[in-house]
Amino acid sequence: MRFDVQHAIADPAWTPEILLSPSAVTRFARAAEDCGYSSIGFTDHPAPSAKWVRNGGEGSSDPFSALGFCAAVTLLRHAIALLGATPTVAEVAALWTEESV
Amino acid sequence: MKLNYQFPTRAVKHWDTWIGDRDLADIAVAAEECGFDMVSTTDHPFPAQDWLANGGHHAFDPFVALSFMAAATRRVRLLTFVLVAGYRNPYLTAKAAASLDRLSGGRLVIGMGAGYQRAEFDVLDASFADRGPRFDAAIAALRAAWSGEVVERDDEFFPAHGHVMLPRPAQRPGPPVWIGGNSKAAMRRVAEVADGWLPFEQPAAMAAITGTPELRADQIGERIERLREMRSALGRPAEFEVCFSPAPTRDPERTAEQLSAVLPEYERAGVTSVSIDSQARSIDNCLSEIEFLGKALAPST
Repeated sequence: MRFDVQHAIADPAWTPEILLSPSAVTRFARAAEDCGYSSIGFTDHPAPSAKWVRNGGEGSSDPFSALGFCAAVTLLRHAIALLGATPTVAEVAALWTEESV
Repeated sequence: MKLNYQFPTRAVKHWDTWIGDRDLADIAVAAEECGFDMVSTTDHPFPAQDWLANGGHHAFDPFVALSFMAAATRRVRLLTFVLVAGYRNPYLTAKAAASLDRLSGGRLVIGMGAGYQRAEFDVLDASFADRGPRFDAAIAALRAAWSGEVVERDDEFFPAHGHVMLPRPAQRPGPPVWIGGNSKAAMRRVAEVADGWLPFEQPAAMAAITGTPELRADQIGERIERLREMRSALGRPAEFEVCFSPAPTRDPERTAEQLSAVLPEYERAGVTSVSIDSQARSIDNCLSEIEFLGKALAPST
């Protein structure tokens, strides 16, 4: 069984520290991956009615912008993790060659 | 003079083989590290075969691509170059833009144009004949949505009653809107409502394809002067951002040589950024071109 984790939706008094700051969304995506979730999700409510928002509706992120961002921060940490492991001389040489071509 | 880097649009068609083990983030990171001020993407969701056969190109979705590049960088600004106004409902555009502006820490610039490809409008169920008035209405709709207030507006194209879009963009009152194109209508929008202008050097042959009027580099100064007068007459700030796209060349050394000769002249004319439209044939050429052009042209900081 695989699990998806949906990013929090916010009440109208949502705080920018929690939702949609670059560092918070980076931590969210990486934590989801670390904890074994197989996917992450964002809702799609571009222009909700004020009535719905007042009744516990949400501030949300555009799903394509948010998932594009999350794709990069999860992909990039693998690059960083690879570089962070103690590399062999041959691996360093290989990286050097790739990057200097 | 600030620099924008437009990665090679020709590469998108065969992206897997072109990019290899790297990705868009490598291009954005290289541009940031080498002193570029902006990176950009074009907007062609579903181009027609006729246009592709006549010099057209494929593109990534601009919001997805720029969000990906934003996640890898800290300083470089992200430019939609240009978003075709009529392809999307402006409230959807406002939402995607607000989210990207948040996620990038306020680094988004919305470059927008009227568009010229009737077939692409048709396949996207977008209205071509009245794309001009719809473009004007879309700019007003974006800004209304970015207010974060309950929107109540009667509008011929995009009325909204009792809707609210949260969270607001990080930039206040919203990301800057720059208008792409050389036409009189584009210049009118720069004068009346926009924050910047994206003119393209356009030899007569290209003008025939794009439908945007011819513009020579030596004409840019007089156009900017005219726009300053128009803006002042409207009670708006005379100064505005101008990101000029010189006609691209294949050879970075030639680009650097030609540009360094004319940059002081552009600067005097009121150009604030120059866009490099990359023609690199491989990712390795692309990354070394970024480094070379950055060293040759980016202001040393």
